[in-house]
Amino acid sequence: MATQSDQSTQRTPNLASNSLGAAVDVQRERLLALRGQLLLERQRAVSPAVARALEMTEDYLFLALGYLGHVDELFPGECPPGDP
Amino acid sequence: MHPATEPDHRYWNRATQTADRAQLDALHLSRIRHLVGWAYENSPLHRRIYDNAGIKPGDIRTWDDYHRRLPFTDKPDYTGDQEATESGFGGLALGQERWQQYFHTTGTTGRFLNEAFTQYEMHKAGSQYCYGLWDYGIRARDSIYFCFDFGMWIGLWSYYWGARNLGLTIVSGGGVSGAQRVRQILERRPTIVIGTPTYLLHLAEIARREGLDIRRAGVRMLAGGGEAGFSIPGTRNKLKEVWGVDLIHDAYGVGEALFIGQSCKEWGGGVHSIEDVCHSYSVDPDSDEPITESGSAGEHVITSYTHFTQPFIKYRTHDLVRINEDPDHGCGWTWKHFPGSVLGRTDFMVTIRGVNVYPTAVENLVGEVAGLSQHYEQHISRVDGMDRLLVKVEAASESGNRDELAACLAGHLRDNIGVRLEIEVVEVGALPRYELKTRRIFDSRTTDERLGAALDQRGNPMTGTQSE
Repeated sequence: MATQSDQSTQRTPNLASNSLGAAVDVQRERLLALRGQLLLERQRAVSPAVARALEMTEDYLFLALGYLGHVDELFPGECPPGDP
Repeated sequence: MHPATEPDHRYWNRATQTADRAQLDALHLSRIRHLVGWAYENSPLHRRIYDNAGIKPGDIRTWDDYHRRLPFTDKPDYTGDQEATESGFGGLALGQERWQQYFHTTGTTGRFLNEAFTQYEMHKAGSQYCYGLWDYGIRARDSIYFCFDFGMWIGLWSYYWGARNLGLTIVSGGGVSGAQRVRQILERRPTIVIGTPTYLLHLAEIARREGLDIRRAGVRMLAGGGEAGFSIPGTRNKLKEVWGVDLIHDAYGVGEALFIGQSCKEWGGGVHSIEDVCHSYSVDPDSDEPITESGSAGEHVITSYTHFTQPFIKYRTHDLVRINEDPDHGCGWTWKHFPGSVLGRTDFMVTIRGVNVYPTAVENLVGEVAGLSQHYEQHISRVDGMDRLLVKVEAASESGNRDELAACLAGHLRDNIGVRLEIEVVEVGALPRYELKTRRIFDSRTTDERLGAALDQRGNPMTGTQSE
C-alpha cells in the first residue's frame, strides 16, 4: 500500500494561493464590505424582528463568502461583535 | 458602479469546483489550521485530546503536521464524552444558546451519537447537495418528494435544507402509507423522488401491485443514499427501468458530517468529495500513513467545515474508499472522486476460511446476478471459532429455480471474492422492507467473538490471500 512520502507532505500553506481568481476575489471583498454594513445594522436594529431578520441574512451572506474562498472565519458569530 | 458579471450556469460554484489542486489544498490547510485552534480553545474534548498528544494548535502548520502530528479523533471519543457530560452531547464547542436543532446518527454501529446544529450549520450542510443536483440540471422550482416521516435522523433533514438552499418546491410524503405515496407521486408529478434504493424499488413494487404505472408520474430523477445501491450498476439500471427515469443521483454520507459525497451527472462510477464543506484523505488503517497511490483502498478520514457545535477534525470514518485526486470523467470537477463510493468498513469485516470478506463487496456482487432481486440480508455468525456468512436473497420472480439461482450466486461470489459463501435464495416478498436505512447485516457474534475474529485477522499472515 503506497503512502505519502515525507517530502510530499511538507507543503506549507501559501496564503497568496488562496486566491480563486480576480473576479472571485473582488466579489469577496465587496461582500465583506456589505457584511460590515449588515453587522452595523444588526447592532442598530429597531426591533427584535429586524435584528432576527438581519441575523438570518448574515447566515446567507456567509454562505456566499464560503463559496468565494473566505477562510478568515469559520462561521458567522465566531468572533464576538466588535472583535477584529 | 461595478459592471454586472454574467453568472456561470455550468457549475453550482465554479470558483472552487474547478480550482486546481494547489488552490484547493491551500484553502483546506487554512481552514484546518483555523479550526484546530478554535476547537482547542472551545471544545474541552479537543483540548484534552491535543494536550494528551502534546500538541498545540500552533504546531499544525503543514500537511505533514496534519497527517502525522495531529491526533485522529474517532466516534468513541464523542460517545464517551456525551456519556460523561451533563449536556449529553460529545465534543461540544458551542453552547446551547446557539443550537437550532437536535439530531442523532442512525446508530448503524450500535450507538447513537447525539448531534446539535446551529442554523448556519444546517444551511451549510444543506449546501452540499446543491453541487450534485445542479450538475444534473435541477433548478429552483423543480420539485422534490420526500418518501419519509421526518424524525431524529439527521440525513433526511440535511437533504431538506439542501432543497431549501437550491430553491426547490418541497413535497412531504410523511405520515402516509406506501400506496398513498405512490398516488401522491402520480398526482404531484415531482421532478425528484428521494429515498433509499431499496425503498424506491419497494414503492415501484407497491405501484405494480396496485395496478398503477409509476412511470406515468414523469419523475426525472431518483436520489438519496444511505445504502450502496445507487452506486451498483444493476440496481441503478433496475431503478431506471421501473421508474422510467434517466437520472440517478448518488450521495455518500457520514453521520457526523452529512452527505459529503455527491455524484456528478457524468457519474464516473462514484461520488465526488464536496471540498467546500469537508477535507478528505485516506490512510492505511494499520499504519495510519496517508495513501496517495490512486486506486489503493484506505480508510476515509475527514475534517468537516459544516459542524462547529461539535467539531470533527481528522475524524476516522472507518469507511474504506479509493480516492482519485485527479478525476477525469468529463464533468470538469477537480474535486476528489471516490470510485465505487464506499467499498466497505475497516471495522466490519469477516474472515471466511482465511479470506477477508467485506459485506459491502458482497452487496455489490449480489446485484450483478440475473434472476435475483435487490432484497438481501447477510447473516454473520461464529461457529467453532470460525466466522460464517450466510447470504439470503430474494428471487426476482416466482418462476425462478431457487436452487439454480443459489448455485449461480455462490459461483459468482467465489469467482470474485475467492471463497464460497452459504447462500439461501428465498421466495419473492420473504424479506422485510424498510423505509429508512435498510437493515441488511445481522451479526449474531458476541462482543468476545468479534474481538477474537479481529485478533485473528490481525495475526493471520494469510488473510486476504488464501482461497478456498
